[in-house]
Amino acid sequence: MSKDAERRSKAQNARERAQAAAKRERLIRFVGGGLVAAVVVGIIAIGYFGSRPADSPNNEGKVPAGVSENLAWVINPDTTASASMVIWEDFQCPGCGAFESIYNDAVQQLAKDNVVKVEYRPTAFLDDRFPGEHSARGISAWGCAIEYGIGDSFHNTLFKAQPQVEGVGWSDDDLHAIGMSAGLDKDVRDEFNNCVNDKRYIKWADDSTQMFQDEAIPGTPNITVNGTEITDEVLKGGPEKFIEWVKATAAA
Amino acid sequence: MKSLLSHPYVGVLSRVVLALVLGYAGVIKLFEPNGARDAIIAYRLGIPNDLAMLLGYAVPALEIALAILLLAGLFTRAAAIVSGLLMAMFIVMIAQVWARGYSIDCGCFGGGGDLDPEGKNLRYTQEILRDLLFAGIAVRLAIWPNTGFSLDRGDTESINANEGK
Repeated sequence: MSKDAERRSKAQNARERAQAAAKRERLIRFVGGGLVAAVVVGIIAIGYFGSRPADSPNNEGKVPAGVSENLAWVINPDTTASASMVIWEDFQCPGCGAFESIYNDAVQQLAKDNVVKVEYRPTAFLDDRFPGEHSARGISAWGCAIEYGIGDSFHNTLFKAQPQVEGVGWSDDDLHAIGMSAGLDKDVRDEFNNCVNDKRYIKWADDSTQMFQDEAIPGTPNITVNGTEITDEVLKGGPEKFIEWVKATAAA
Repeated sequence: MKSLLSHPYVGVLSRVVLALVLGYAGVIKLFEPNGARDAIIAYRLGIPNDLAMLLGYAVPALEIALAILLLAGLFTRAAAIVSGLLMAMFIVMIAQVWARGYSIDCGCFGGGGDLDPEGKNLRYTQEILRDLLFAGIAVRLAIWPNTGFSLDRGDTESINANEGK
């Protein structure tokens, strides 16, 4: 073989090797890229489209008397105030417990002085993250309390009886006792206890939680006046600053 | 310094670190997709629930895909650029929610949602510094994507072969 031909065949071999390598490379990229794309599409398809709720629930006949059509508990339904304050809470959320212990008096005062209509809205979103359905059962029991005339005090007492961490919750017996310490009339004690055990207003909890999610409320406690959300600065400022902010926002 | 940063072994380490961070963040979010949705909503960008739900799956899916690509060393430069952009987006989101005075859990590694305001400045600072570090690793990989121990290696060889002509 001549030197020239030898060089040519070497060059050809190298070219063939390079071509084979390039082909292998293309195959790896094609298959690898395809597999990764399939993982992405698979996760989104199974997760998102597989978990969507079938259709939105209706709340006919499942809301305690005294809770409005739009699922809120209004503490001053006869108010002359045109502005409204909406307070979203989960009974298991420690921040909500803290908010109630610091600001409940201020909220009651603002309601009484007709500064704002005060709408309490319950959500059980923490039940997604912690064992049990304590938030939803708490809301249902609150519905029973509303039915038997102790709506406000049960709401406040349940927050005071909040366990330190989420997921511990309350037994049915705990909820019965909380009803009694919230001032339940002894004559309706059995009815109230049965209502709690039956989870009579669990649908209120579900529907209100659905609403919480549909409205994309960012977390709890969530406090808005005429749609304007409170800032952390105000929330850390104490009752006087809170009242000032509510008045200013309601008047704006 | 530059030669150390561009060294292929540093590149392999960068790929592995970034892949582990993204993989962990992605997998843990998948185990609580509602948490990811809540975290996205907590950033208060006016994203409706349905879109937040979709993103609650799309973000971890993207993170896992990037982790696989980085670990395998496939499309390293593209994966690094997308990872860098993702980190930049996280930083912007944390910074805007911080500037607007809200206190949230970033949901970076699961969890998410509103938080107790105590100590939020320190927490946000840490989160942003951490994401900046990850973004830096991504930039390093985008500049010098050829690291060895990777499926892109054949590509490197063919590039070298072409350059040799």
